[in-house]
Amino acid sequence: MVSDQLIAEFKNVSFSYVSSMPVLDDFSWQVNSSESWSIIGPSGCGKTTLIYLLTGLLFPSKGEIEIEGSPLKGPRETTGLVLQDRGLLPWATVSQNIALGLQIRNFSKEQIEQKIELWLSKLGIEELGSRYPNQISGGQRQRVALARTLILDPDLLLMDEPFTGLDAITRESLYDVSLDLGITAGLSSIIITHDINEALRLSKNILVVSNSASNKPIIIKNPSGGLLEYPETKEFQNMKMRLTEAIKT
Amino acid sequence: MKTSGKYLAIIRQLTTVSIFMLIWYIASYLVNSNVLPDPISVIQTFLQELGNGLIDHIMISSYRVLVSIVISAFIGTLAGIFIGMSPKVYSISAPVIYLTYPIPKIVFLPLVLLFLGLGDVSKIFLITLILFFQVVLLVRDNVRNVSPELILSVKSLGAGWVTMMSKVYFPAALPGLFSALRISTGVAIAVLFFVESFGTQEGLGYYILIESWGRLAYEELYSGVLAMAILGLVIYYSLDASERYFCKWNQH
Repeated sequence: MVSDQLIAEFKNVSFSYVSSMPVLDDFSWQVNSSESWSIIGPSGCGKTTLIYLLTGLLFPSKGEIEIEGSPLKGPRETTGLVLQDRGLLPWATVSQNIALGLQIRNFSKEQIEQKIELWLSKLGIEELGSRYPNQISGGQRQRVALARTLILDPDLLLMDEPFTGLDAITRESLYDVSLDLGITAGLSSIIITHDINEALRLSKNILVVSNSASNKPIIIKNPSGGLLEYPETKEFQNMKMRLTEAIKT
Repeated sequence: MKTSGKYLAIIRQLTTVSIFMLIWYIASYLVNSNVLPDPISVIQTFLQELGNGLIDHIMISSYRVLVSIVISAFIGTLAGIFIGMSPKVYSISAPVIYLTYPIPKIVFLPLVLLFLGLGDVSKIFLITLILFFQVVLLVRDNVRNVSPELILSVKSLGAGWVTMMSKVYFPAALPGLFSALRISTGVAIAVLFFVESFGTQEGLGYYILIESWGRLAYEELYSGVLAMAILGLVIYYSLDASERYFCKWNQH
């Protein structure tokens, strides 16, 4: 099922914001299709920059980013982005928020209604369709954000700390939902986190980004990531220690 | 809101108005002079005067204020969005706005009259100018406060210019627009009164200053004031109702 086809590739990418230290320096990295990745590292290390570069909302100052073999020129139809809270339109209802991408893609009204109904139920938020984002909980908002992105059937899903700031129980249920949907959709996913447990639970590959410019990325394979019973195993504890070590260096 | 709650609110508001009337009544009794007539005779005169031409003055004043509100809301919102969405335009325009905003616009009256004449255009222009600055300022700040995450995530869905405008910037601007109109309606009506006191024979300003005060008809004068108060009240309530309708998401 897992194919080795490249979906995203960073080729010697450098990036710096105006008048500051380079966030990325000669960085190379490959993501194959259907792979699940976590990017972990301290804040301010350029994790979010990586995601924005991949979305096509920022561009490298040197080097190239290729998606499916061709250079990235701007936001791409089938790349999905989920941000930490605040990504939903506060003035639109849950249904209107989820409909946004479909409207941009000129789907018909009936198609949009059908799809919304389907995705509301997939994410267990059927009864929230007519509520506004400030009338629902943080966990429910992230479900809406996931629905809004997944409804567009992306092949590459980028998430920037989507579960930060949620309580443990809500996070657990969202892990289950994302694993469930990720596996059935067979998409490539990249999730930014600063939570070691989250990285190990959700992805088979972990990119450790250190504070200094990241020209030598540390990649840790986590073959059991995504399995439901994984957190209870000895392997999980070992991996946790290994990852902690890797982050410190 | 539940229906019972709605009735309760109406009863409360009616009580406030009644208490106000009562205080007015007692005050007029104590002063005992025709300079302060009691509310009942003012309301009687007001109703008489309505049929006697006051209604026309109310209509023309309402027209001047409403046209000003519509024009300033339209242009002000557009300008505010344009300034607020770009940090560059924001920093270029800030000194101009802060230089011109604090000037009481009424000082332009002589110039406005010279350029636009004595008719409705100059009156509407001056009121529009006052409302415009308030709208630009608040809309600009509201648009500037749209979170970068929101802008990025909507762009990542593939949104182009039209979608960004209609789904992000315009809805973000609306609460600012309504606050601005609410803040400046009082000033707008004050200026209306002033500009209607010369060069015209229509409008509440003319009715109060020339027709009533000019011949010491106090009850008529108070009727004019009452009409102005009602004009303001109708504008405020319409703004509240429009905001409730257009900004459902912003209610607590």
